[in-house]
Amino acid sequence: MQLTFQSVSKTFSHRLGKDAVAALENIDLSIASGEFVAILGPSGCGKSTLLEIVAGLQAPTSGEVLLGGEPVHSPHPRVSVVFQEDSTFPWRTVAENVAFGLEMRGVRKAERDDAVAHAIGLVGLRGFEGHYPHQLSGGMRQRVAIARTLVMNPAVLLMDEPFGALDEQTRFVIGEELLRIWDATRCTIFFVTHSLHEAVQLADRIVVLSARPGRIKNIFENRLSRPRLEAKDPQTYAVLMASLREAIGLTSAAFNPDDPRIKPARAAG
Amino acid sequence: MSRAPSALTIAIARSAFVALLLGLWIIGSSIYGSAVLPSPLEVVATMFQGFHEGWLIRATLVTLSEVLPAFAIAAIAGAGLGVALGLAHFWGDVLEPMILGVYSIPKITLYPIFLVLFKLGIASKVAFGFFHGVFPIEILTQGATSTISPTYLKVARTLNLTPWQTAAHVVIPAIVPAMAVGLRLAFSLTFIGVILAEMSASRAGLGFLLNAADSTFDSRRTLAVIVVLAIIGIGTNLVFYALERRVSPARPEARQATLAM
Repeated sequence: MQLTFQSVSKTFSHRLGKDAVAALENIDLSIASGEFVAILGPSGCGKSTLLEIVAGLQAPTSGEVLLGGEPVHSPHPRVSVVFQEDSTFPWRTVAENVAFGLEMRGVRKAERDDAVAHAIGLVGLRGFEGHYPHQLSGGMRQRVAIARTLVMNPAVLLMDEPFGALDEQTRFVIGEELLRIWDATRCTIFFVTHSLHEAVQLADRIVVLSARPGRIKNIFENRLSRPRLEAKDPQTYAVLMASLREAIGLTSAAFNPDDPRIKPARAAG
Repeated sequence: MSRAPSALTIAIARSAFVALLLGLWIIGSSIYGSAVLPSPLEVVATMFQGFHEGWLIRATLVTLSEVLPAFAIAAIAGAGLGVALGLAHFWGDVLEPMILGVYSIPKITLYPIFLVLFKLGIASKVAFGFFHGVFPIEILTQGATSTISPTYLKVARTLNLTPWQTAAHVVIPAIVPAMAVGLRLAFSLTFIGVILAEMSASRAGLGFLLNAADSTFDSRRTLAVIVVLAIIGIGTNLVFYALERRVSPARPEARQATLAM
């Protein structure tokens, strides 16, 4: 399902304070069906707000988001969201968590069970169906959250820093699994992150937002072949990373490599 | 490295402790004489006599007939109000300091007002028991409801759940562990409220019996009533603890809530 942003802006007006905060400004973007796009930006750049607008959880102040040509006004049944925070219900087992959406939609149990088993297989949690979330690691709980969205057969999967709370190794492994799942389901993925490595590892296109108000600063095509290991094509990898760093302002301001203060000292003698 | 003691070791130590207390009671009784401190056996004999003659059973039934409706009303009203105020943040913010404020008043000082409003009979005991029990369940339910993970509610919204589905499948399951703790505390406080009311002004019930026995220096009856009160209190507490464990399958946050109380 195609996802189009037409000059989407969002301004938060505070009832007490006079200042209105511009969170997003004139976002124009078109995401093709089945594309994997990462939204990269510093915290507070409005990237989660953008995701919530697509999810139908917030309305834009102006502009429109179109899903398959239709404007989004409320949560769309073919759009699923994976949040950064743990969203698994502690009172439900893994299988019951995954079944939740279908259960609420009134899908019959026999039908539900097949879809649940399939989704649990996709995220590699077979054997844990009867476990409760507190018996699982953070990475496994995020897999449950992903399975819970897959079971709804989404056309668009929105992911809001889904692996932000995980350690780097788990992040990489679960990222590769997400690519496998994406390959199997061919849904459109809109992936919000502040990690350059994650964006490079996963996305076809990387959209860089500027800090407050969030505007599209650059869009990078990622031509590295998967799996994207630095060692496979160090030069392309380095160039892409450097361009991303520059786009989000890391080279010019904070990490100027020519800055004498951070220049590595040559080994003396 | 020291190993955690086994459940059996803990059970044995507990029994030994109870035996020690009973031993001290027996020794105390032989020192002060059975007129002041009757021995455990004498107290048990008095209890049997009380059940046989009916006065202890009648008093127990009167007290229970006050505690149970008071608890039921407190549980329903407290849980309902707690959910409502937990969801309506504005009213929750407005009323919370008042609720906590009234809760902190020594409630027995307000009993004369209850007597004027509800007269000397069962109604004033039920009302006073309710007044004690409604607070913990309201406070815990409101706290749990207002702190439900916003992510849970976002999940509900992205799935386009109806308000009823959100309440039944997200909000209520999320607050059940806190409510179970609230119910346990509500029962013990309702029980205290009813006994206090009976001791202050009444014509029946265990509290009344306690006062009557005490004022005639009938230590055997006094202790027999105290033992009955202890059995009711400890017994119901065990039931509610079992309920808590059932609704919280080893969930760390639920256990913390239990410990915090």
